[in-house]
Amino acid sequence: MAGVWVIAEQRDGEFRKITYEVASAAKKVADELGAEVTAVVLGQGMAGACANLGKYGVKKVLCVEGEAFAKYTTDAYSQAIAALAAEGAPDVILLGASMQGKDLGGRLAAKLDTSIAVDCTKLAVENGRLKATRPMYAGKVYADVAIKTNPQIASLRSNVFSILETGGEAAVENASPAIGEIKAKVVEEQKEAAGKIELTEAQVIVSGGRGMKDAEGFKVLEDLAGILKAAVGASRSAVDAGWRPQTDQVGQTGKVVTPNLYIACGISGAIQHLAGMASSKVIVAINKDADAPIHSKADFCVVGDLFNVVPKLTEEIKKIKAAG
Amino acid sequence: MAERDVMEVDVLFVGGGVSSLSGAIHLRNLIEKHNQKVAEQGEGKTLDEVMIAVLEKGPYLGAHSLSGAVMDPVALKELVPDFSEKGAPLEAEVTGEEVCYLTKSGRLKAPIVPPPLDNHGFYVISLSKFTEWMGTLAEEKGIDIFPGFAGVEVLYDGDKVAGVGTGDKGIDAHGEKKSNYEPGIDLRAKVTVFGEGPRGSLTKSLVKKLNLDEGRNPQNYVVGVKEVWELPEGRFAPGKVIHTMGYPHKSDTYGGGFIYGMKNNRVSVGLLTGLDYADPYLDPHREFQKFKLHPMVAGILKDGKIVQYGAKTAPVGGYWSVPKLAFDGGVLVGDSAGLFVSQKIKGVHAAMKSGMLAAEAILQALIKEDYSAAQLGSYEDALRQSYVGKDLYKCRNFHQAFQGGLWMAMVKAGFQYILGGKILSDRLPAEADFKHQKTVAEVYGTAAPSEEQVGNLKFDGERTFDKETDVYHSGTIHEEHQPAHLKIPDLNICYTTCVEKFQNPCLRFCPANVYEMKMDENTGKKGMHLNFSNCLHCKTCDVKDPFENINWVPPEGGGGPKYSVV
Amino acid sequence: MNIVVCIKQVPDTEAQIKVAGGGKSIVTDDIKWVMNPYDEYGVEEALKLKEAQGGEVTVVGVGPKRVTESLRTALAMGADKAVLVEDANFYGADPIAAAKVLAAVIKGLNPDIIFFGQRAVDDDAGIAASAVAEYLGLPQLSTVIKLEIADGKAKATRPVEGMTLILEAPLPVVVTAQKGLNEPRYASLPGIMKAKKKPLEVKTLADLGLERADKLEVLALTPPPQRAAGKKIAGETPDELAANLAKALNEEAKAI
Repeated sequence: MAGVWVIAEQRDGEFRKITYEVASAAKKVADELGAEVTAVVLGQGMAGACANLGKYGVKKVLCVEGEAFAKYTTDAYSQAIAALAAEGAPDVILLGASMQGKDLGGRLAAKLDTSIAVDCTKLAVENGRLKATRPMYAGKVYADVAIKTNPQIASLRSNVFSILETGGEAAVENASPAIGEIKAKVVEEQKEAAGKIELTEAQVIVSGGRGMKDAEGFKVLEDLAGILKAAVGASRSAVDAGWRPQTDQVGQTGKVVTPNLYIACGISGAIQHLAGMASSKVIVAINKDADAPIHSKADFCVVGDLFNVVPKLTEEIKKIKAAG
Repeated sequence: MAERDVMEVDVLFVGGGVSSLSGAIHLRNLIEKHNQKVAEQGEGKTLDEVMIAVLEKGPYLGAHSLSGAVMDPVALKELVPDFSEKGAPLEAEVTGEEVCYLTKSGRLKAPIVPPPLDNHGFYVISLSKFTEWMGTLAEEKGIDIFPGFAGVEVLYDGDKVAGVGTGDKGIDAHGEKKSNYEPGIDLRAKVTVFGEGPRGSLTKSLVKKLNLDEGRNPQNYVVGVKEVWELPEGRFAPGKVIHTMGYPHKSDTYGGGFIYGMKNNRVSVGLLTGLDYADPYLDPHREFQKFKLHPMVAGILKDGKIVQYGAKTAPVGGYWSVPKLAFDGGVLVGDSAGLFVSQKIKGVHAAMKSGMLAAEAILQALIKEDYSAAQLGSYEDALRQSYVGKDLYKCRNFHQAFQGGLWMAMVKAGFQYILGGKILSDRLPAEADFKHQKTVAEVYGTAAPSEEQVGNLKFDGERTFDKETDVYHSGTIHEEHQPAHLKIPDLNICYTTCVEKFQNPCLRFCPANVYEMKMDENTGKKGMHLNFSNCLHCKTCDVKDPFENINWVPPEGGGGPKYSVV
Repeated sequence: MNIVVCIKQVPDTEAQIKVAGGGKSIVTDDIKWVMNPYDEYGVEEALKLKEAQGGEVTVVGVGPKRVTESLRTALAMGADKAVLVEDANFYGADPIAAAKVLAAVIKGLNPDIIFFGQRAVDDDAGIAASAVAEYLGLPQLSTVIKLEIADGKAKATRPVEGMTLILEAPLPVVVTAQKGLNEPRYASLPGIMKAKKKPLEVKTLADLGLERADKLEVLALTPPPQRAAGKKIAGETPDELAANLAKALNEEAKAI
């Protein structure tokens, strides 16, 4: 029976959201291949959580328990997964294109003498093989790729694949693959001070431009960002005016971001700014100028005064979140 | 102050354009021939290990090269007879030509092509691509090319030019050294050739210091604003050449449009605007966008896509504005020497030939070990005798003839060409472009002309583009953390006399939106803001500021446009 | 110390990227090629290490002849020697295939540390470095923003989601450089002149006993997905606008 494997990602005993996205995507692929989804969970004290993955279409879980796996290391994880894959011979291995996934994927591909499609935004099955779509050249071009050898490995971009509950319970199996020396070790973890989310990793970004009028104007954006757990970005105009630091700049000469949701407030939408956020999944424009170019690039356009609309929006979203 | 490093070269070419590259290549060829001759004839001294260096501020050769262009291949054939085998990137041989006069909605086609604009046997080229190709030839010949380095000062030994100093890199916006600070060096040379293109920054200071323009007319300029478009298959034939006059320019504005067919369904479309215009609200970029909306042009560009944008000045003062070209330790070539033949709209061949003639004089200088003005002056004599000199003389007064407006000019220009240059008085006077600036009140009769009077245009983003969008298509980029390279000696003028009389024309004449008056919402006052990283290095501001209050100096080397097909 | 830096030559970031007829590659006619920006951090870190602790920096690249220019840039910055595995058609190869070639070259150089940029800005894949580490049996430290080398060990600072990790690994080790690791130096004019005389060895795949074997295949290149026309949120007052927008984001876009 063909196998589609999911490499779960956990932190501190809990699965990260991307695990459910990858599992859901794996189930779809498995259905088309007439295969079953097996999840590989590495961690410590994860045994209890494993069965839950069944909700997302996982049939079997290989649970690799141990202190060596509590926190991610390249060596422990890649060696363990490779050992299991050598035995289980999956056709496809999927993982999240998270920081961990980007560190792990290439190593795994080399170990298994195959290749990997990184940061995919779409998966399909064609002629019994995986066809993955991934951005290249900073999103200027998209590539449909296939991997000629098994296992076909693909890492999936976060916040793109929907989480689908297809129901069921997974059978959990303990696995103890032999691993060798762990050469690169984590000696310290410095948790981030609560607050600032890195723009290039943010799932939601609230961004302000010339229309913010001054540095104080950004307060309404920070309030909105707070409720959305978003990062706050800025256009070049706002940075040039000294209202925000250059590290907050989104655009051609700033950062290129790929969030799930980008809310552009008081931003005209110059092409240089678009170059930095055009790949956002959902774009909202709030600008009182109905002719601002940003409106033609946005999915949702609000023609109105952001200083009136944004605080109200914050309230509305609070209500929605409270309602659960 | 720390001593700068010194690097000695034999011959230094400042500016990596076609004049310098032609000079460098030709010089290398001449040296080879000379050495061969010495070996064969057993007499004379060989010139060994002559280091020829080319300094270029752009990130690669061709990055800052922009022109129409239709090139007369005469110089190319002399320099590289096997240019075809060597893969010279010529777009197309000129096949069909048209000269027309445009009205707002129509056009009058000239029954015959005026002789100066007869381009038969010439080639449509992309100057950027052509320059890049010449660079590969130069490198093959062992010429040392240094892209990414800007010459910021001329070095002198007394009154003798001794080389050029390059700019520091890694200085932040406040003038402080960054962690990767790299000081510039002094490039010292026996001969320095200045091929910086139109309104070269070093050339400007050099001409002033050595009085090279004594007794000459000041130089006049046009600014060319252009785009390369990709069109539907077969829309516009490669090699088809159209020149236009009239719309959108009013009759007292010098200039005209061009449309040149390139290969692969690309077309070069542009508008030249004389910088001696009077209207302080004139915006060369905006006029070019209007040009594209003219039914004839719009029809050609329909369903096409912009590929690249750029702008650059060109010297049109002609014969009477050419300064003294040779001085102790150096020469001027190409557009820096003002050798553009404006009546024919041709400068590439002149630039190349001037480089080659300079090389011939430099060879002799190297042999005789005499780098004086007298020795190098043979270059200037040779130039006068050459087809470049003859053309310049024949077309002298062409630009000056336009001072009375278009119609008078056409008459004068027509006669002038037929009569081999002689008109009523042999040399027509000329003034620097900025002096022609009239006030808003003078032109509009009011201090606050309406949008319509001024001729403002709303850009649709498909056929016409605002400056920011066009700048994006020029690939221009600069190191963000550096001081602004547009030096404004007296900012106060901007807020007082200039705004009163002219309402800050820099906001309009810069084709890259570098100059912006930003309203501070809190104080209600406007302040001059420089978007210097948009700069296209076109030099319009250096020419046109009515108070000579903008001094363009090179930003950190490697910055600027990234032209490839203009 | 024997320090190796791997560099890739990529299209200039300002370049217009167009899909070529055939749909499997990009048009390279008007492209200007530059050293991958992330690799510059690798070169700089290598040079800093050499300046602090002595040794030699070798820079390695695979691809067509033009890659020589980027290798020369690294030499001009201060690297000591360069190796090019020249193959006219290598651009666009499976990064795993490139990694095999790099590993074969690097093995012979006996490195203490190997630097890569964290990813190349053309394929945005970032896997060649970890594949090389695997082939050479070395530990890897990815997306490093701070590095200390002492007593045969590397200590690296690596940002991940929500926190920063400090990792340690024994040398030899593969390090991929992230923006912020350092400020790359400029190549000076004297540096450029010196670079012309530094050794640049050219090998072929055959010399290494290798063939290009891509396991990743590009089926098609397409322009980015077109965004459907946007929707104007209805509303007369800010209250209405805000409410309607929040509703749309929640129900239609499922974005909050």
